Amino acid sequence: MGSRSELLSLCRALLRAGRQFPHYNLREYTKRRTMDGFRMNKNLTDQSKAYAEAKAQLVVVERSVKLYSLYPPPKTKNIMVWRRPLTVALLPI
Amino acid sequence: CDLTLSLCVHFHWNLRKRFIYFSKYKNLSPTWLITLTVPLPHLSLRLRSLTPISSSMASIASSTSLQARSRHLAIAVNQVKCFSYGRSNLSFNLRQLPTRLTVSCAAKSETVDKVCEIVRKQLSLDETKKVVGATKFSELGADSLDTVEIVMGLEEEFGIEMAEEKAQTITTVEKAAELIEELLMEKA
Repeated sequence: MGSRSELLSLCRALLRAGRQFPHYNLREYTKRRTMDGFRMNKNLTDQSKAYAEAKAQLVVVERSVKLYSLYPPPKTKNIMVWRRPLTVALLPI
Repeated sequence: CDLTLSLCVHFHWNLRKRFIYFSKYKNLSPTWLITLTVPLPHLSLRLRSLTPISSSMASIASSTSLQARSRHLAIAVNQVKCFSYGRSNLSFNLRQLPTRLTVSCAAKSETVDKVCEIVRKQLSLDETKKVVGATKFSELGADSLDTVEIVMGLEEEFGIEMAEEKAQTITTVEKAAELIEELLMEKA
């Protein structure tokens, strides 16, 4: 069972690790999953299991980041990352 | 911020010749009056020793506008300096006293606005809720996890990395903006 600050730092570490993925979808997924996971287990009395799980997932994320960065990054930019606004012509009909 | 300049004017006796020359050049009658207090709101002339100082000096000083910045006085000072003919007996010390009025410039308004924007987006606040510099995150209904998410969003937006301990101390929008500016300045 970690104290409050430990939980928060674990959350931060997970989010920070997830930022390093070259793929947009992986980045978004880690962000979404960590927030969901922490919020789900927020009100539990015994948080030791959840804490251990989060720690294990942190290791997994860090390993995957290294693996994904070994291969070339995606060639096309994901549409959600585009900076220019989407005009009508670009919308798929 | 107000600045008070104290000009230490240091003359020596063997400079009076130069001084007469100077005053004649300036078409002023050399007088040997010691003018002590020149009531200028922003300047104060302090005389180190009882050396003759012509009123021309004071008049020069006072002729500079009442809103005299240090630049104007420096120009006047430099003009006198060039008459010392290589001898460095004439020494002017322009010393800036510490500022009396301390304006606590907390954070730039653009940074605060950007932070507010991101907070609004993260917490999905509607337009009715006011987000100002002093609003606490807890007031807006954000718990510690939401704060962590907001801080992460800010880090991404500004391209900075916040340390753990510092990030845990963020409670208001103002603090976040200050930290961001600090880190941006360190980066630059």
